[in-house]
Amino acid sequence: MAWALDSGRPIYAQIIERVQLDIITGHYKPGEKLPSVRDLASEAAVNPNTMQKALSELEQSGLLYTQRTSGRFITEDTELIQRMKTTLATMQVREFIHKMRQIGLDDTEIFQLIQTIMKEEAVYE
Amino acid sequence: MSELLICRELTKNFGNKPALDHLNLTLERGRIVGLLGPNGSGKTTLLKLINGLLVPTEGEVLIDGFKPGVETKTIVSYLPDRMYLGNWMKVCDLLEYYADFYADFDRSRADGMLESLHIRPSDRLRTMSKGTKEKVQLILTMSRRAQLYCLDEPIAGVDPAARDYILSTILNNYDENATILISTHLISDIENILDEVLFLKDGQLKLQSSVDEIRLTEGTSVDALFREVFKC
Amino acid sequence: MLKKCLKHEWKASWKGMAGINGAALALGLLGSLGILGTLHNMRIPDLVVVLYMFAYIVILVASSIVTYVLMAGRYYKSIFTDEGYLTNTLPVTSDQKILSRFLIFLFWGLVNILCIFGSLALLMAPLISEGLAETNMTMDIVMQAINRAFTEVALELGFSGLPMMSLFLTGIGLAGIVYSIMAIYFCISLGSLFSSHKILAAVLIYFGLNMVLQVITSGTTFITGIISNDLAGSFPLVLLLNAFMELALAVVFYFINRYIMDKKLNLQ
Repeated sequence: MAWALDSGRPIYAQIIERVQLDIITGHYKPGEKLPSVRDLASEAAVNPNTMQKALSELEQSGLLYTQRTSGRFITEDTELIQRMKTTLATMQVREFIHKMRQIGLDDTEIFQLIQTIMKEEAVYE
Repeated sequence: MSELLICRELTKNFGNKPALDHLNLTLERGRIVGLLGPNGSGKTTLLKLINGLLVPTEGEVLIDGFKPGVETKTIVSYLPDRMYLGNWMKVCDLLEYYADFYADFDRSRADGMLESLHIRPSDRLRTMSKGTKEKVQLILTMSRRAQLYCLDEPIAGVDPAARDYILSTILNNYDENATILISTHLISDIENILDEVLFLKDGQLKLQSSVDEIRLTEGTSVDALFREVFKC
Repeated sequence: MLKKCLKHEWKASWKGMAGINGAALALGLLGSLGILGTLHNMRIPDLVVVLYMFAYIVILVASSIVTYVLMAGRYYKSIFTDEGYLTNTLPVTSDQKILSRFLIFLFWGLVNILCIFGSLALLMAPLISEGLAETNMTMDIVMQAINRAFTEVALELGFSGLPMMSLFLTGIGLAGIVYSIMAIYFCISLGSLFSSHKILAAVLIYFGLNMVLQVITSGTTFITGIISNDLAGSFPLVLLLNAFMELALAVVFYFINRYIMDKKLNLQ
């Protein structure tokens, strides 16, 4: 199944986000070997050069590292992954708050809404 | 030399009408390139010129430094926009034909792909559906370890599942030193596998850019940009 | 590469060619058996005999026509139709493409002649052997008589003997076949330049060409006859002139074919 990618944004940026997310959520474990560029490109149904570019960028950010002979691996630096997780969550929450304010809720209303919905979900589970 | 294809002032007239009009173009190795343009913009003419099926009225086209001829035909693998195989042939005849004429034909690659599609070597082309024949043609074309692949409308007229198969075939057989030139109308289907795109309009190059460059600067997909540029 | 071209031309043509020429031979054999049966008091209804004779003549004529039509069609189809997209993008020179097709065509043209003669010989064999038996003659005597008669003709025409004349006539015949194949290729190539009705154009050009040539040939025959003042004696000379003209034309046609294939290919 090809990866779901938006049509409006650069593909390599979307690949970076996707792989980041896969690392943060533990789909790829720390120290695990990443599939080859060719296989990943095939899986994602994207151009191999674009995949290569995205992985290089992830390498520069430290999330991936290359061992010359055996390929690319996920970083074993769990602190880095944790930081990434926090950054990503922060970004999402910021965006959420921004949208809620656009809709016209004030901060107390936002809090209340969150609490109500979380309670509801807890009941369903 | 990293330039694989060079067109200089390439012109082809049919009667008084130019199908290609002083086209200048350079393609490097290791790219998957989309050749995009509306009907009659000169896509098929360009591919025919590259493959020596037409002779330029003016200008020249060079593949790996050579004009189209025996040298270039050994390194260019061409999928025309039509059925070009003799109906009387069996799949095994075709495999032998390609193996005899093309030194770069990889028999095991072809066998593997045919098997995965449940096409038997003893099957005769005549008895196949149009879609199956198109797949056989694509398999033969992509089983060569060529340096330049010219695919003319490889995904037109096949169902979405077959389209996925074709795209994955192209990706799986991609090699860093080869360039794949794909002409198509169905841009959104192949956009993600392209490095760069060429927009042809009235036989001239309107745009040559990478897909991500377009998305970054225009903020739209290539498909959307195409619709805008060629709005009727 | 020429070898590979030949191999695949052969593969593409042998079934049809073997079929039609085999049929000519088989029908000859069938007739031969029929005649043998009749000679041994087997009764065959007249209707069957008439039908057989009709079929036999048709198949002999058809074998020639079909041989030429199929081989001409193969040239047209493999180079100037959709199949041309493959043929003309093979890493093969135009010379190799034309030559391989030409050699296979020539081969089947000769096979066709042999099959027609072979078929006739088969058909006649029982009659001849019966005739020999009735007149108490042997094959040797008959052959000698034939040999004598033709040697006389050969000497009359100015040859040193029968072998010379046979060689000469074979050469003339070959030149004729080479010419007609190249002429067919030439007409097909010219026809392909038309945007539609390519085959019709080729056929019309072929008939036009033959008509022009007929006029020229009768002209040269007439003039040579007048100059040498001896119509019978000038016969070999006329044939020779014709053959040279045919070969010269065949060469010209070859180059035009190659030019069209290289520079003017007009695939739809």
